[in-house]
Amino acid sequence: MNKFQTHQTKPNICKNYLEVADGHLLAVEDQLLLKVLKPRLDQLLREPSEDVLCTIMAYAELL
Amino acid sequence: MNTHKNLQTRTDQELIHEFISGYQPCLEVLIARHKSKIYTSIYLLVKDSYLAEDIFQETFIKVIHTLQAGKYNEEGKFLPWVIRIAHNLVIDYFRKQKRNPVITNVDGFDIFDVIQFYDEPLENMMIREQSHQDLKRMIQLLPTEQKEVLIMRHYGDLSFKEIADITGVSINTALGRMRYALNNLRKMMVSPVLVNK
Repeated sequence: MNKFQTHQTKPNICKNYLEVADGHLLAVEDQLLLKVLKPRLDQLLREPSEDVLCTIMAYAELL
Repeated sequence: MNTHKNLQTRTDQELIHEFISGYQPCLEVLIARHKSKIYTSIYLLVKDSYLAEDIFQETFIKVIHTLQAGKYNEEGKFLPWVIRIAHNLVIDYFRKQKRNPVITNVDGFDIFDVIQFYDEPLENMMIREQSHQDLKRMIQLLPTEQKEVLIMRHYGDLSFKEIADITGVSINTALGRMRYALNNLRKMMVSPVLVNK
């Protein structure tokens, strides 16, 4: 049995190199800035009102 | 019998299957899990909380219809799928309004084309720090194309390929927009003009 990895034995995850490499497509300084911004962007998270959530659930129950 | 506590440990896909089977609380858990990211993605684009709630509601009505019609086929990718629906509804809204609420330009937009630049005095270090805290306002100043890439990447956890598909551009263009967004944010962070606005 051939113990060397060939294109046929590569794991499936390597088929889509864009997905695998996605996080590395940006320059290092851009990746670092995104890392720094992450907690700040998370602080911007807002929530819809309870009224809206109730309306959606009520709609789902009607169907 | 399912309880809400048990449902919290289910994957999105499991919750979707149970909701389609008729168990309503699964939808509630799905919405609770993702509501902040979806709502914030909409809000940062439309800049109006009432409008954002309308679009959020419309998004989930579409989600419910699609799920119940058995047309959902994006296995394991619930959040990006919902973000895509929300994004399309935002675009539809702006098309209907025939106006664009933020500065729109080509990808090469530079924030310093529209704001005045001053050399930053050294004593403004504290002001600079304040500008970091005002990220929301800076994001609002970005051109729509750049803002949506940043939002979809961060809140929607979308890959650049997915962002490119949703926005109808190439991956390189999506990446370029992200780079411009980050460059503009960098510039805004050290701009006393924006801080003092």
